[in-house]
Amino acid sequence: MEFLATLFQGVGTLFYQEPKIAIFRIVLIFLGIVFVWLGQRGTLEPLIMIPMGFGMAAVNTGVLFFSADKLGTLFTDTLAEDTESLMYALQVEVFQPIYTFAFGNNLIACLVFMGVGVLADVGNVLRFPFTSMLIALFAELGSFVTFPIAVAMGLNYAEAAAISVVGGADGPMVLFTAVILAPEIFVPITVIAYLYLSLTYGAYPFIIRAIVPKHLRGLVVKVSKKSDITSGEKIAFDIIACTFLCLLLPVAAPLLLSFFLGNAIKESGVTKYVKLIEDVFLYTATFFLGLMLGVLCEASTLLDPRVLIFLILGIIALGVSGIGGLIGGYVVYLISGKNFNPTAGIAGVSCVPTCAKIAQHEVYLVNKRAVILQYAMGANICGVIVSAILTGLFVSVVPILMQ
Amino acid sequence: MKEIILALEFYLIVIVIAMLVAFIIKGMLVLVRLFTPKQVAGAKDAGNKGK
Repeated sequence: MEFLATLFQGVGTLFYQEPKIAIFRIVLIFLGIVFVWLGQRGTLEPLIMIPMGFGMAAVNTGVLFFSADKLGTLFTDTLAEDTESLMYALQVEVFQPIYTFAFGNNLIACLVFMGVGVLADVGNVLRFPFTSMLIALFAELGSFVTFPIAVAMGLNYAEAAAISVVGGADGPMVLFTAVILAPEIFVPITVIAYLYLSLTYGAYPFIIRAIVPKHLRGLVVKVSKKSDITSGEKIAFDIIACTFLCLLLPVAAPLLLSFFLGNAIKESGVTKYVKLIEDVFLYTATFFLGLMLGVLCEASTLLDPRVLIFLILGIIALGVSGIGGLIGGYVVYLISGKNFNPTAGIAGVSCVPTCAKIAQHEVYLVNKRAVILQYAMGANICGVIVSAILTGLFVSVVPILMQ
Repeated sequence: MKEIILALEFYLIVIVIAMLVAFIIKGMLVLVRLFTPKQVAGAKDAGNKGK
């Protein structure tokens, strides 16, 4: 028996672990396979879910004996902190260099954000700054509602802030906040965040249909005059907004720099850089983000009673933010003399550009002539800015509150 | 109760900063347009035709 366990260590280790960990390992292996399947079908975001599912399945099958009483994997060692153990992990664990040099210091989040900056069009923010910002503020409601609920459920301020940021629906922001504020639980929080973000595509249309009646969803917005925003104006916005926000929130400066730099590069028309960031940086970072999240989903890491709390809080945060965004849409609808489609409010939740696309799609289903994408994209980009402000605030203030 | 007030304080700060950003965007746009000489519509085309 011992010989077989040594020969087939992936199976053998199941019998040498606590039964609950062994059972959870099997559950996670199947969950990884399900993620790959759902990603391939397009139910979940394939860019994240396929590498994540593979990582999750592989890390929970590939457990081996390091010594008679020590089990582990050859993927990463998140507990390696002192120089000696870190150097050992860097030599032995395959993905340790990515974890240490790109994941733990948020380089991956910054690269994803740079890519988002290249994809984003800030022209709509410049056209409707107040409308977009107002909607984005409403769409951040979930984060603020979740924070006190999380504390009431027994989490400390840092953990509560980390899970609250899920309400901003911005994966890199959640990763950034969790790594800085609550590094010991950043894996479950980030996994839950990305899982839910993948599900927004399926859940938000139902929230829209439940809250916005059909005649309002099909509302055509009358545009009085369309002002063209030049590339120079967009670059001026990028540099001024970046400088101002970095000045106010130095902790979030790397993320802010990444986003606005990406956008300025796109607007300046340096096509070689645009291709580099969009085709190489963004997809490389997204791929390794998904893979690392999967690899970090070890049974012993996720077998934390707080995971259930995070699952509940994540739903609350994203649900309330979606509803908040639509309330924002209604507020703008009333302020503008009923010349605004409230469906655009859902785009204030800053999942770029998914939420804007959802809003436009729902409108299109009711009225094929109604176009709200410009309003939705404006709110979407402002959602990113508001999420960055909140992240910077949490990361700066919460450690002081906990002293 | 304390946490609810804290969350409201956070919200208020975020609202103030976000609205400041919106004001800066508007102000910047006005300033940039003020100092940028207006191009006469179709001037470029007319110039090209002249060539």
